[in-house]
Amino acid sequence: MIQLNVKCPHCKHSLLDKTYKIDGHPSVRLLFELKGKKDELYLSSFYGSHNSKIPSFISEGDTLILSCPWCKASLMSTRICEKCNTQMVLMDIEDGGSIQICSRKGCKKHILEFEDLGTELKAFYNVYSTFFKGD
Amino acid sequence: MIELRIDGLDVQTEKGSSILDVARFYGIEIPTLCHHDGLSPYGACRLCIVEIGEGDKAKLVSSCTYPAEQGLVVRTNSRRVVQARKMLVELLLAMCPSSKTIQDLASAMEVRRVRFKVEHNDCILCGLCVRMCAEQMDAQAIDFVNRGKDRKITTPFDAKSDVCRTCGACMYICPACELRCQGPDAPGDVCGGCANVLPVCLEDEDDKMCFLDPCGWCYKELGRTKNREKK
Amino acid sequence: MNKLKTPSDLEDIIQAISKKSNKQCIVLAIGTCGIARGADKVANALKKELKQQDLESKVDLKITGCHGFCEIEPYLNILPEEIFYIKVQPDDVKEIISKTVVGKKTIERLLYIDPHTKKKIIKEKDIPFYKKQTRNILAYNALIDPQNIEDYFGINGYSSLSKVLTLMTPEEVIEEVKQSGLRGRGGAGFPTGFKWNFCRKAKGNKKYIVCNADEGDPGAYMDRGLLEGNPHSIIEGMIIGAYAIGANEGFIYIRDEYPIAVSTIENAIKQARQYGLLGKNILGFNFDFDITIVRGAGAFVCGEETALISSIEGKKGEPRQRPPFPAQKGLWRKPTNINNVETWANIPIIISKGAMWYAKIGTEKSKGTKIFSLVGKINNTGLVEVPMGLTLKDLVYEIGGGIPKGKSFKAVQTGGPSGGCIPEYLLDTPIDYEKLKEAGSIMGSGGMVIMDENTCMVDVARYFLEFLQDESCGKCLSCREGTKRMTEIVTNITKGHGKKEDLELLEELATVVKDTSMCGLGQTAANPVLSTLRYFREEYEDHILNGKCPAGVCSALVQYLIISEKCVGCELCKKACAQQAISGEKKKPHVIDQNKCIKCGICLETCKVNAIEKR
Repeated sequence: MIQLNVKCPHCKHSLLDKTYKIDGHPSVRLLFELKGKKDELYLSSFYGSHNSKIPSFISEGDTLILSCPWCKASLMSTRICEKCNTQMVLMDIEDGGSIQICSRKGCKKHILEFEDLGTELKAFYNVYSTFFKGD
Repeated sequence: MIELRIDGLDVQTEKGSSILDVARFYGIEIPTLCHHDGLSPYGACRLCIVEIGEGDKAKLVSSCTYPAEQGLVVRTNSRRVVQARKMLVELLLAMCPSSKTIQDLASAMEVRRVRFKVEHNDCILCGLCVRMCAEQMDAQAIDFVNRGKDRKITTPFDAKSDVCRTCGACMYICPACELRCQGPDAPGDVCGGCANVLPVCLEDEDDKMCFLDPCGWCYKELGRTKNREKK
Repeated sequence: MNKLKTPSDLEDIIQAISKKSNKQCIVLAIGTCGIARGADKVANALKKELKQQDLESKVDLKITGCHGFCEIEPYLNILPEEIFYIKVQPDDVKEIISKTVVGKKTIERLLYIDPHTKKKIIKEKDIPFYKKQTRNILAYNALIDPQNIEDYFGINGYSSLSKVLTLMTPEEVIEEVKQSGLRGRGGAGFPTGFKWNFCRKAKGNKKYIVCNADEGDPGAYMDRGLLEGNPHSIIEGMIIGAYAIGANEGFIYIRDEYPIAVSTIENAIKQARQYGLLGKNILGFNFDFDITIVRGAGAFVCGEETALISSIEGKKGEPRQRPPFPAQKGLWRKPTNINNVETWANIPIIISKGAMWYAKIGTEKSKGTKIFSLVGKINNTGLVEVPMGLTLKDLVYEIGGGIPKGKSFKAVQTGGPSGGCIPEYLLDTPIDYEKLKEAGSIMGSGGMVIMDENTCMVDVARYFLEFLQDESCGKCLSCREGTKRMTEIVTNITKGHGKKEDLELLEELATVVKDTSMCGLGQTAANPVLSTLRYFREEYEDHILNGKCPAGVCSALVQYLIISEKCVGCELCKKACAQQAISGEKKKPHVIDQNKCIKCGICLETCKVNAIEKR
């Protein structure tokens, strides 16, 4: 399992919050807006993990507008989720490349997922390839 | 367009460029040896290394071959990079101290000593001649043979080449072929003449006499000598 | 051999072969290790004797690959009684056949004696060396003739493949491998399930899978043991992998220095094809796959995945920059998945026994068992298979039997030239990818070289550096020149020419080589030096500052002296010395001329009164 250090594509500030841990590691803190209400949520920074801390008034199927807690810029992108046709949210990762997450709660793609295979490969190799004849 | 950050500067480039391309475009200097604009990047000399990533996962990569990526953070002169470059130049000096290109790199990076046993090789195995012959001259007359310390550049089976047109492009591009400037007497394996000794030219003449670029000492000192003159 | 056209054809043949016979059978292990000890001569003697006693039709002779306990080779097992004889010589064969095979009596002198209890052990499986291991993969080496695919059917071979093709989708196979937690056994420990997934997701219609059998670490021969002993497990694993990833072509890149392994795997592939398990429409399904063997040409660097790809393509074995990664652009720029021999061999058992079963073995992050080659200064040399999480201490003492000649343990070198040495006070380290890394070494492909008090750690660093210098591809400056200069410095230290500044220079150079090299060989080239400096710095300092080699290995720093009070003047050493460096009259104390002495040590070995000392 690998941990991703995500950052805002606009202000480049890290989105990790050391004060709230999920899966034993700093979580990803984001601001969101739903039906006029504004609050914050925490997602796991672990690739593939569904663990999160989300306010209870968000129900399955709700679409959120996510933004960066530091520069307040919107993180919504023009990409559309292939599972539920909602807007995707894009964040950069420290080693280069981006990850995406669907903005609809409950959607299978509502987890950190790599934007493209090249970035995913690089993230894994960074963690595991510390050895010559890597396997 | 891809956005990345080099030395704290937010830059943009197109997909397919290397970090070196982007840095040069924005005027950020990265030393190179085996790189040449007209030839494919090779990544053998390791001088163009830069640090990418942050924290304990940061690593050094050769900027001439590494593709620029969205969100990458690059530092071209971190402590790790500078120390590595200095050691690499020391290794180069120990291979071929008679090359002007290498002596200039040593001066520019303030490398004053060589702590290894010095050998006087004619070749630093940068591969520029190989690529020149293959890519620009379309001859492919020479290439690398053997592995490790036996590696050398030669024709197939060391035989006289049928395809070599004796164009001389390999000699033209070779950094080892360019011999040390005939300026002030070098005290030892590290010339450092430019750094250690005042160049004769500017003190006595009104013009830069060495004509060799990019020695650089003159430029560094020019400010000082000019001020001295004014006084 | 008829082609198996459906899964039930396979079922039928497995059923037919599995019927156990009570016929007597002599099982003899002939791997490369066995041949080195003369097992092939024992085989010839057995064949001759069986013929002579007219027993060929009554007693089978089964030749298997190495079972693992190489220290006691040649060994053979007599079934069904399960009588196990060790260190068998051709001269013993007549007695074995007459007394044991025919007479059903054991020959006491050929039995294994437990060094602790001093009791004689009859059955192979009761020997502590084997008993304390978890031989999920290696156990089969003792049961099958690798030249005979029917033996593999006899242990339910290829039934995992049948299960996969009949019941599972490619995605389900990948999920199963992911859940098992299997990590690459070549050394890096890359999660295999994820690796397969990358290749599956990559764009492209043509994909390749490769088996990396270029085992190059000095002292490591686990892959050889599997290739020579159970080649079909690897083939079955590869077919399953190809199905999961979507590849139709596979390659086994095997080092040419393993001729028996090459011929064994070639034969296995041929037989698999004859049964239709390789080729078109495997077991009747719409799935084609075949394997080509590519032999290496003697370059350690070709074990690195990008250099391996270059080599298969017919180019120089030079590593390439990553990205792009082989999973996206590998062999001929097509998505390629490369795994180590042992990784492929683990696949059939994960499918047949399930990911949950597999994940129960090992530690939280390192699952399953791993095969190690226990070599060096150890009593029980051989191939061992243990669950991840076993401590190094248990491996060295419980299974390895401790250090011979009562000497003390000094360090264990793991991971080959890319690894490091782990000293005694860290022996409680569990064998786990992460824990070994914390200790300054790596799991590596599984080579474990045990060192005792008479091993000079500076000499060890010199040995590995020389190896790496020779094997470096030479492309990048850091690795080529860096390993050359590090070798120079360390060699000078072993010769007594070391200077105080050398250690600082060595560390500085090692850091730069590690940071700036392009491929893993260079990046880990500094490990032998850095790890020995970390734990045995005093030895380096002793060489440099005091001109002494505490282990007594570096010949330039060692002196052989005759203690005149003990010398009886027998002239034996004088006659043994090839350099004529010893002088002295009969019955008078002799003297060694230090200028002529080449430190070969023959005089010390020859002296019968212990009058010669090595200082």
